[in-house]
Amino acid sequence: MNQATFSSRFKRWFHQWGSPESFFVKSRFWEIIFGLFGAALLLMSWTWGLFFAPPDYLQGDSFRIIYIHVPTASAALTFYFLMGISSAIFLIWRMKLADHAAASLCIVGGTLTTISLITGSIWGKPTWGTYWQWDARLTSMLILLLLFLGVAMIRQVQSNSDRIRTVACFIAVIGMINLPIIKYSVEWWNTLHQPATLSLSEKPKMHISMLIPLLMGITGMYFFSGYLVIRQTRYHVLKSCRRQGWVKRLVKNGAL
Amino acid sequence: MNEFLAMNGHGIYIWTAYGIGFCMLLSLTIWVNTQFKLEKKRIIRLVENDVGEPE
Amino acid sequence: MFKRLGNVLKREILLSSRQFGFTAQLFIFLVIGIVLFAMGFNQASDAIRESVPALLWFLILLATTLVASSWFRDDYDNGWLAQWVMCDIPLSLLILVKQFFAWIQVLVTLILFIPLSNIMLNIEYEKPLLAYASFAIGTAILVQITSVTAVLSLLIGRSSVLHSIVTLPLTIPVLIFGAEINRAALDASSNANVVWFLMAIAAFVWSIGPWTTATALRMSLE
Repeated sequence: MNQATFSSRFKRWFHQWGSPESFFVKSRFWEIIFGLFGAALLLMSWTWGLFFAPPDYLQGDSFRIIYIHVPTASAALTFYFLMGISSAIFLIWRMKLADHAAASLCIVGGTLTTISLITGSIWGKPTWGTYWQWDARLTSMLILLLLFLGVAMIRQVQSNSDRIRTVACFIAVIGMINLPIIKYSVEWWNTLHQPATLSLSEKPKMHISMLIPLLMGITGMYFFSGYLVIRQTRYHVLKSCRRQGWVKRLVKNGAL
Repeated sequence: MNEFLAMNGHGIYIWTAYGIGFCMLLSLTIWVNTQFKLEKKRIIRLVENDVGEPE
Repeated sequence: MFKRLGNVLKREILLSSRQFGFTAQLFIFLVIGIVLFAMGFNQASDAIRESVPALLWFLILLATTLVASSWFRDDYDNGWLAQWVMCDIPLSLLILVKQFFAWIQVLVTLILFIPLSNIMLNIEYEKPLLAYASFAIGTAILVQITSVTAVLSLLIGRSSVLHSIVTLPLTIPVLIFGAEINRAALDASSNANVVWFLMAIAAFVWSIGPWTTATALRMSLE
């Protein structure tokens, strides 16, 4: 395939997915797949983690919280960046769908951040002896939550105004640019947390029987929260296209 | 069974963490789905007693 | 074009030299902050000295964010910004001028305020120059960050609390590095290399900030 046909194909693919109608129709299948696959993986990971994985030699049984803490934290961070990217797409090409996606990512990502903060601080009690430590990772997670909340609160002001959408998307993009600086400065400020448990470049230090459920949990969390994001995006699409012809057609065909 | 739930004294932390996480995820799922279904119902009603107002 | 740019410059200089209200507000807010903070402390204890760097930076962050939401308000209301967008001078250049004068105003306030706070809190810097440099660089970063969000808050209207909620998390690096430099300035033995980080952030923010603010402004006037 040469360059030209590839780019034209990509453009077609992009436009097809970008139109509300075809997104709404096409995403239905993927939504079901994501939801089922994610839920199954999550349940498997948690069962394995809670019942079968051996206890950690240093932290004992309390390390089992990792199977809910790390997946949510990882998905939350990724979702912030995805929100920034789709906000940028909205700002540049004025694509409504990207804004709907950003709004959905904001809600889901905010919830995931909250879960990871709560589980993290509960994990801190048996490990460090306190619920809250001002250590680098907990703190930057808290700041991530504040950034999510800021964007969510702007959207709360008036949910159906184009100006508010623009502001929310702009703030999301600025936050995305600033996040590395914030993260670096917080890390510099205080490093007490254990070094990263998982990294792509290094050989994992965890035992395989602990690692597999963790990887399953992370994948499952991405898929399941992906399902939530798609579902919420479809809701926004439906809401903003309430009076359009294709919605009526769908209703009349009984396909809604 | 009790011994398993206790998890060498860490049980309370583990179960609260999983409980809170699971409940929050579940309530988000329920919230998202309810919103979607309500919107669906509203649109179906809107189409059924279509008052005109062409797009 | 250069003549018009000169006119804009002249107007900004005139405006900022006559707007005592802005400087006075900022100054009084900072002083009240210090007074209220000191009253919460036990007179006999030494804890207040320990918390001076954090207090000063926190107050400056808060004051700048609060005041910043009104920077573009007047020009927006009387249509001056709309003319800027249509003018043949690059919008980011005009924004840069405006931001520069906003920074000067903040600096003037701080030059008045810092000596006063030193007297009130009974502190003496071992390296006063370092402390002043940190305030200058830190507020330069703050001006850039807050002016973007200030332009955006024109779109939201009214809510200045929302403006602070959105802006304050973005200013965390300034707080962390600024307070650290301040601590180093108080106690000559500690290391002050962090000042380079702050300068790097300032260079980054001043290179993309005017452009970002201009984009936000264009969007808000669409």
